Order: sequence, then structure tokens, then C-alpha cells
Amino acid sequence: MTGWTTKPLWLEEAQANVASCVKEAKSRHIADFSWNSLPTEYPVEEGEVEGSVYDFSAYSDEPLWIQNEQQVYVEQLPMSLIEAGVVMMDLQEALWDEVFSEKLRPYMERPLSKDQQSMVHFLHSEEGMLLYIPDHTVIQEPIHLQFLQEQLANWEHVVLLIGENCQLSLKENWEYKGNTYNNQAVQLILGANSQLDYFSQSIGEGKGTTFLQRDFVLQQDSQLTFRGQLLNSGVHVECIDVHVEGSGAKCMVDLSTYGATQEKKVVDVQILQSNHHTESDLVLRGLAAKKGKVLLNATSHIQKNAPYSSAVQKSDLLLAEEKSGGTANPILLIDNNEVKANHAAAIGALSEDKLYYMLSRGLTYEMAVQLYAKGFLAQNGKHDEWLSLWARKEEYVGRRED
Amino acid sequence: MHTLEIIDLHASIQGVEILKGVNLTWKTGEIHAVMGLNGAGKSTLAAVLMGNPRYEVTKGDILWDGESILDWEVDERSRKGLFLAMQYPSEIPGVTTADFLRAALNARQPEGKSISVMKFLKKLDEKLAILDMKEEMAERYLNEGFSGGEKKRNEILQMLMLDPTFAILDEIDSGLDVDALKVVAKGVNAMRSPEFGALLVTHYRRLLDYIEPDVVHIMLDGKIIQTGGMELVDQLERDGYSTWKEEDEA
Repeated sequence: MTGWTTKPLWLEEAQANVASCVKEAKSRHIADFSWNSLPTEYPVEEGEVEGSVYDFSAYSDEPLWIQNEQQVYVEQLPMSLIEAGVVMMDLQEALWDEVFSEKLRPYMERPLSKDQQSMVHFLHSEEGMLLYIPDHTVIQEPIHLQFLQEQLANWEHVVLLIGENCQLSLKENWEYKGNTYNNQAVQLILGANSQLDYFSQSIGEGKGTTFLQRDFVLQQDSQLTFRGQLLNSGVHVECIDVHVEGSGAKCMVDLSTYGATQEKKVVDVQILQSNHHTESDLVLRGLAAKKGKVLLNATSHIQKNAPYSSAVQKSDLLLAEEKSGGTANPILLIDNNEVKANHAAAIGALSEDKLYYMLSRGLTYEMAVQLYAKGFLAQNGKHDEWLSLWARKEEYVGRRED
Repeated sequence: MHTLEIIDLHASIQGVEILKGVNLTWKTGEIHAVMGLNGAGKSTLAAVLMGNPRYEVTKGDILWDGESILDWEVDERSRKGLFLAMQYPSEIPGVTTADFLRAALNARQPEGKSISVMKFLKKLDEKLAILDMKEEMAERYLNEGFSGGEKKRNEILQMLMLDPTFAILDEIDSGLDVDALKVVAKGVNAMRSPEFGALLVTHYRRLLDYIEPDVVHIMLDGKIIQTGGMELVDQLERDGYSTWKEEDEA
């Protein structure tokens, strides 16, 4: 790698362009957020330990990246993957590198969307990581990416650049601590004929605000399975734009979220199919409890130049208590007659019959609701992964209530 | 020994009276069978005993060792030792049978205590073996995608795990082939002891060939109109319900 010592000119220009118009842009989901009111310095108070010390000794030698804001704690790749050309690196380092800068430029030159949050993020977009998988790479072990969020403001930008004819799985974990402001983005470019199984979990305490913009581009005959579970507290807005650009490309997006104790969760997924024989399958699942709110927005758009494509969509919102609330907006936009599409949305309370069944085995009402909620949301996860995530959520909730 | 006494029990759903004065005394160590025509109130009796909130008890009482249980919630009744194997068990997506059972057993532990994983798994393996069920059944989501027979076995598995004092089995034989019926009966017979009582709600004799009851009740139009032994089952096989219907109408 041949590094430069300064930021590439194209990035400086792009950021300057965005900076000039960000104030006028609107935020779709966090109306009261003022982008320039954030403190710029966070002095360490007397007696306060700067940063946290984590124990990573339990990790094996699996592909792993752990980052807390700019600080990379663990960067671990088996030799076989290094030899195959796989790269995990700090994003700023990649942007300032001659080779990777040019690779990243087409995807980094513009903000992910015209949403104000996304534009604000773009101004900070050098902080984060790049995962680069060269063509024809098959990786059996899942690659773990962990992002710890405990600064007052966090700006990670994750770029997943996956070449052609690859096969791999990713496990991504976002962990939030304290009352943080988090504005993050994940860009995925999935090369032709590649297959990715992508599993993401968000967990954490505090009353922070999180805006996470995902932008996925699927090239010809690629296949993406994305499963997400959002269990972090506070306000969380997750916008996922999937551009199914290559013919024959397929995507499955399945996301579960939970809003409790005056939390608000917004999941806004837009799938844009712009080539023939593409397929999309979108499932959004939300559970609102204890005055929590969950909004599920699902849009599948099959464009005119995407004949013989299909789009399936399902939104399921469960309101666990009377004071909880939410909305499900399933939208299908079809511009071509030679397609198959269907959508369904359901909003309902917990089933009395199911609760009765659980109570009849001796579970208390609270236990039954908890188990039911857990089961409802866990449907898109592997059971063990889910149990461990849920246990951590309970730990956080317990700590908060103490 | 424990006793469950049903005294002049009247119950209705949405203003329609279904149970019209049921009397029955059931002790541990006894297996009772309740037989009757469709709509006689057998499943309603089972549901009311368990405390299903859809039903309203309008008159009468249910006594557990002399104490009324009408004010007990469904879960309290279960933890006390009452079990209902349901005719149509609910599917709970995302919750495995093993997790569900562990939660149910933990609900029976003193506050702050839980059953150890090893102890739980050992017990689960034992009970699965009795019912010829594969271990992976316990890892499947509760009743989701189960066949009719699998659901019934799963109900019996739950009964074996929770070890109740009184169990009501509501048409546990419906939709079962002979082999599955034998397995289910094996599970119930494994529980048979002076500390356990069962009440079998059924339409058919074939279940009673495998689980022989001590007492048989004939139920018609919301009431138990005759109580006896297996001779009632023979009479039923021979004459159907016509004799009792005529008597009831008279």
C-alpha cells in the first residue's frame, strides 16, 4: 500500500459541496436534531477513565474487527485470508491510500441520500473501516465486525467492498453505551455472482439517538441475505436502501425491532429493483411495549426496466400494551406489468389464546409476555445468537432500572 | 392425597350457559373419563377448571382440598399442580419447546432461583425417551409446523416435565393413529401413581383401552348424568347415547 499524507482532493471537494447545503436539507426522521449543535470537545473529567478497557481474551483467531470510534481494538485476519488479498483497514487509511482511494471513490463521492442525517454523516465519513474482499474469495468462517459506541458522538462509516464470485458471511454488532449520539453508515457493494449472508445486531443502554443509514448495491446474479435485530434502547432510526441493480440479483431483508419504555424505533427500508429477473423479499417485524413506538416503513419499487422480477413484502407489528404504539406502511411501486408482487401488513395485540396457553403452564403474565416477545422477534435469528443477545439486553435493562 | 371437588358448576360464554350444574369429585390416584356428545360441555368443563378467562362461572364452586380455586388465575392453578393438555395447542413462533418448558419450571422455583441446565436437560431427555420423541423436537419452535400427533405428544411431554397433581387431557386421542395413541397412553400411564389424578375427555373407547379409567362419567347438555365404571363405556359402544338422551328429555 502506498499512502498519501493528506486527504484526497476529490473527498475534500465532495465534503465541501455537502457542507454548503446540509443546513437546508431535511431530516426524514429526526426533525428536532440540529447538526451543528454538537460539542466539538469532550474533556475528560477528573477521576474519569478515558475510554474503556475491554477483555477480548475469549476471542479465537477468527476474522475479527473491533473498533470504538477511531480506535481499533482488534484487527485480526487469518494468514490464509491475508494471502488471498482480503483487507480490513481503517477507513481513513484506505481513503488516503492511492489504490483504495480510487476503488472507494465511486461510492464515497456522494452522500448516501439527501437526508440531513446522512449528509451530516458524510462530513465525518473518514472514520470507520473498510472490508475488502477480492474476486473469487470463499470464506467459510463468518467475519465478525464489532463497533462499540461510547463517545458522546460516533460517526462510523463502514464500507464492505465485495468482489465477484465471492461467498462469505458477516456478523456485525453495534453496541451503544450511555447517552450517545450515533450517526453511522454502512455501504455494501456486492459483486456479480457473489453471495453474502449478513447478520447484524444492535444492543445497548442509554437514551441515545442513533441514525444508521445502510446503502446496499447488488450487482448481477448476486444474492444478499440480510437479517437484523435492533434491541438497543433510546431512539434508533435505521434506513436501508437496497439497489438491486444487476440482472438476476436477489435480496432478502428480514429485520426485527423492539421499542419499549418510551423508546422509538424507526425502520425504513427501500428496495429499488432496476434490472430484469431480480427478486426481493422484505420482512419487517416490530414489537412495541411500555409506551414504546415502532414505525415500520417498507417500500419495494420495481422499475420499468425490471421485467420478470418479483417483490414480496411483509410487515408485522405487535403492540404488547395499550400505551404502546406504532405504524406499518407497506408500499409497492410497480412500473412494469411483467412482474410478481405481493405485500401484507398486520398490526395487532398479543394473541389472547397464545397467552392463555403460556399461562396454563404456570408462567406469570410478565414471563409469558417476555417469552412471547422474545420469540416473536427471534424468528429471523439463529436461536443461540438470539438468546445471547436477549440476555445482554435484559442485563442492560436491569442495570438501567437499578 | 388431594381432592378436587366440582360442586354444582354453572358456566357460560358470551351469555350462553354451557355448564348447567356439574358435580364431580376427583382424587389423586384416580383416572376419570368424561364422555359425551359433541356440544355436551366436556371441553368447556376442562377450560373452566383451568380458569380460561373467556368463560364465566355463574354458580357453584371448584374446591382444591376444600379451598375454592375460582379466584386463582390460570398460572396460579398451573403452579399449584393443575395441567390441561389442550385439544388445539397454540403455536408460539420463536420459542422452542425446551425454552418454554424451562421457563415453566423456573416459574415454579422460589423467587430468584432457577432450575439448573444440567438437571433440566437430564429430565427432558428422560421424558423424551418415554414418548419416543427425538431430541431435536425440543429445539423446534413450540407446536409450529407440528403434525397433529406431534402436538399431542408435545402436550404429554409438557405434562411429564411439569409433573402435575391433576391433569385434564382434552381429546388427547383425536387425530392420532394407533401407534401414536399407544405412545401417548404410555406417557399417561407413566404418571399413574397415588399422587397423580387424570381426567380424560374423550369421544372414543379406544383411548380407554390403553388407559383404563377408574371412573367413567357420561355428560349431556352441560351436566354429568351418570357415573360408573367401564360398563358405561360398553353400554355406550352398544347403544350410543340414545338411552341417556331419552332419560334426559323425560
